[in-house]
Amino acid sequence: MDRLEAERLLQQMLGADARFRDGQWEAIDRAANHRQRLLVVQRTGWGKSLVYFLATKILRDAGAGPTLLISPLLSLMRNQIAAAERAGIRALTIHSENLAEWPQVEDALRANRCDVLMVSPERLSNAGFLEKLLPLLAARIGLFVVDEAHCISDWGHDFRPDYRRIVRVLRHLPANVPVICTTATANNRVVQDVMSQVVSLELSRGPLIRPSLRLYNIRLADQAERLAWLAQFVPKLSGNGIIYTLTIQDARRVAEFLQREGIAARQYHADLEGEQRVQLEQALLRNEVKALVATVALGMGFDKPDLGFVIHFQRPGSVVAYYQQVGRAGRAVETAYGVLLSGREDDEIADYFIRTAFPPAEFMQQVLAVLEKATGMTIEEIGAALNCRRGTLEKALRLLEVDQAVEHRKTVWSRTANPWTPDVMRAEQVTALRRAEVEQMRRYVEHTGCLMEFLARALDDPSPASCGKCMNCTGQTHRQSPPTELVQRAVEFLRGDSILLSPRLRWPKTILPEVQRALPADAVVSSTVIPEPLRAQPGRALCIWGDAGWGREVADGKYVAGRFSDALLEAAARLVREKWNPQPAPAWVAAVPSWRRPELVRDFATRLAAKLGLPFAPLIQQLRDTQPQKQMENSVTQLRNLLGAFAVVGDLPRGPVLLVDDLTDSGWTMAVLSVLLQAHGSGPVHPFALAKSSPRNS
Amino acid sequence: MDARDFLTEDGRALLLLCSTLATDDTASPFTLTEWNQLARRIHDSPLQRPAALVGQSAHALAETLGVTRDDADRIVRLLERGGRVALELETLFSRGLWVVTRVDPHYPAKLRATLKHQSPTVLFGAGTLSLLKRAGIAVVGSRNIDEAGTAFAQTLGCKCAEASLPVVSGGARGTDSIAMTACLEAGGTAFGVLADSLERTIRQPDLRQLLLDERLVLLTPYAPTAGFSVGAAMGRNKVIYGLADYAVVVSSDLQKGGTWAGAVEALRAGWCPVFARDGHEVPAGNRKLLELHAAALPETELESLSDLPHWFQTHVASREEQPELLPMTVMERPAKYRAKR
Ligand SMILES: [Zn+2]
Repeated sequence: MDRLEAERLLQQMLGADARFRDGQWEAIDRAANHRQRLLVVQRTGWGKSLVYFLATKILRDAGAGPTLLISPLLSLMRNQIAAAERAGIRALTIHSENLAEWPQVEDALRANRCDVLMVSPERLSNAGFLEKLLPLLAARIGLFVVDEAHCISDWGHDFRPDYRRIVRVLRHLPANVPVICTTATANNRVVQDVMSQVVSLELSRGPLIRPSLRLYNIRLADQAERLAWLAQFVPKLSGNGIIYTLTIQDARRVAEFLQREGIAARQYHADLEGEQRVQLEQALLRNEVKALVATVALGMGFDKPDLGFVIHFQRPGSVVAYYQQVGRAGRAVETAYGVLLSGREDDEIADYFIRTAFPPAEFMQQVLAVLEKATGMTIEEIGAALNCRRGTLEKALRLLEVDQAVEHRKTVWSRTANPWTPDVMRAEQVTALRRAEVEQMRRYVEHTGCLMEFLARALDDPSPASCGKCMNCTGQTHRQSPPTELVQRAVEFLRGDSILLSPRLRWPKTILPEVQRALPADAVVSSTVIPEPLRAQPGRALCIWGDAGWGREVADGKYVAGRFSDALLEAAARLVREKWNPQPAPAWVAAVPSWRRPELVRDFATRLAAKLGLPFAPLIQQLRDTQPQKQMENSVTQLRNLLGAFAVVGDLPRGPVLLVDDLTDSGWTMAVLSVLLQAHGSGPVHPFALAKSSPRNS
Repeated sequence: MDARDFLTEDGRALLLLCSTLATDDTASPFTLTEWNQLARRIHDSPLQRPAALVGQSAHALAETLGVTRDDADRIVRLLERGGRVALELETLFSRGLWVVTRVDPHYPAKLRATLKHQSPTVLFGAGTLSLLKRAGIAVVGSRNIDEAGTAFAQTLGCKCAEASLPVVSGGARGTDSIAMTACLEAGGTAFGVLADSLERTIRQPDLRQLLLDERLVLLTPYAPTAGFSVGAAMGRNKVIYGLADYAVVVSSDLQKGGTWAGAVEALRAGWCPVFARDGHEVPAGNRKLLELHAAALPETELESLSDLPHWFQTHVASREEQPELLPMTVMERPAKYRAKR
């Protein structure tokens, strides 16, 4: 098929005045007519779907089998599918949320009535799909399309194990099957990595600059100031948009504050149900909300061409991630805003994510050792055997699955017959790269030249140039501040916002014998489960360590004043009495002792007890020094650090107790002391901490 | 090793043409005999290599290879399923299975050299493939064996472990598993040539651990998900003999059963020297095999053997001095192992 004919099809799809954009026909021609393997790097909105739909049409007309398209974006491709249908291209989708439609897809495949089968990456490892639907692809695949191909790269921000599987499939693919890999964001490193993993790819690359986007960088150290800024300026921006935060906690907070200020903002993150997330996306697509306050969970799948703004509440970890997120704005509107707010906590959060990206090799080996003894286990069973945070275990399994050392069928994980050795080099290299990426983002925030050009260069755009629209190009570097009363309201909001502390439910299996030796005889446990009568109740923290609510006041008290302020005392008492109101109500107060600073927490606990009208009983003793829990690498070392460090002396008051600490991290201190107190006859233990550390993303 | 290391482009084409992976009723894969004929045609044509067939039209293939239009269509249809086979291969490799074909460099060289055009076109397996470079001792026998047979198989397994010789067996119940288990428990290595269910077998935690420890290799000429069939059990026998320097028949029925058929075939084709357990109460099959000039491995002698390889070597060599005793009805042509010396 030649260009003219293809352009007629294009017009059927998109309207009589549609023309090919730069590079589109060339890519179609290379893949369909010359059966090449292409890596297409073009900005979002350039029209990559058009390339693979028209290439499919040409190949199908020449008698080839259907196209297999792998994309994480399926649920949001309805418009493109409708356009393809106008040119007689029948595309069908298979993903986890349309199980009910699978039989129709099966029929269509059987009758060769499907031109493009679109599947989500995880389908490729799904036994049902492989065994039932794949054989119906008339036994042949005419074109293999991989969307969001940067996910293939180890170095990419969005590396996904399912994509590693795609690479291996591509390796087994005979040379006569054309391949199109597409991505909107890939710097040279990622391009090279993708091309080294998928052999004989030819590169087709266009400019990444988005002319409609106006970029701004605004530095506001305090969360309160940033909240106020959002409340002040978001209503003034035209259209609807996304506000990105780094943690789920912040997504919830920002959305709540904006709602309080009368802005239709909704939180969006991985803790919400799939159904709920779809509804939120729909609400934004239909402009029913002003903004979604989202973590990276609002990711690649979301496409709203008229998105008016993307604001970052915190600085993302890399230019690639930032460009990808800010690039969602302004695809089909004249003007859109990309605003990066950055603050004091950015470095700490970035550092936390980097530190926790790779579970220690020792832990990975423990996971394998557990799996090697069984035919198959669920995550819960592995977790019970090892005691670890579910997040850490999921991360370890994901990495082991990439290395093909484990596999899963539905919810059951098992060891494969592939050997595994830890790749320490890889972990170190990736960590070093992540640090360099954070450094680059720091430079971006401070950049005084054209911001779009900075991004373009960082992404190895072949033709970077000044945009003429960003804050530096237009000289709009003078910042307007939100009114002080709004900032004050934000501070109040943050101060009234408390944090839930979930109790520990199990001891780590690996050190169960140590736990048994360290605990009093009547608390001795035979299994890893902490018996319910000895567990802590769900507790509360007043703030996140270092945040703009009470976080800095706590830090000041701990490290500067050496005494926690009356304002904190007031806030803590209010939280306990009004917002939290733990049941059964505490009858007395205890404090977590400290070897190095015996007075700090005890003083605060005594004052809090007085304020609440309860007796304070200093009956917990610390027998030896312990390391700060923040420095402990994992659950096991954190707990080991505490075992045998405490003793309960004297007769405990009967009844429920409020257990007070300043900073809580792993929750093990609270868990161990709850066991000790309850084993010595106290009532239920309600933990309270002034601050909680550890952010969590997605 | 990376998946890429196992299959060359030619191997991939051969796999598409000869394996039942991802086949449907529109085209049946080439049998060993059919492939041998086709391979010759490819070699004699300008195409030269199997990989060159990929992407050719049926018309062109019929012309270049001189095959019928039906066969050319069949080739095209088999090669067209590359995309799907790619997906299935990915799943296999991700579970720790591998695939090699007769044209790939990692195909066990000894097997190819011994069986020649009779060697299976495709082998699926698990465990470290390069272990198969070590020649082993085939231990074969029926599923139901008596006490003396059991003791013999056990001792033989241990002796193999002591001599660092891998036991090659069919992995079935009875003789196979007794010898293999004895060898593995004594710290030795074993190769299990399966007739079915490779994919399911490697999920057993104890076997998986032996695979990971590089003590066990499991392989099969049949698809990894294939179920049991009598034909398959017979077909894998030649692979057992083909991987071994010497074979020992522990107990065989007379004129029936897989052990008998395999041993007679091995003697006839001369895949490797065949020994049969000898003793007062050995089964009738063993006696007949000894008559057919399998070498004797007396029960009484095995226990005291200190150097197994040396014993095998000398006892085969001694038979070479009396070649006139070999009846030509069984040995249609001179056995290869003697011709090779
Ligand atoms: Zn600019």
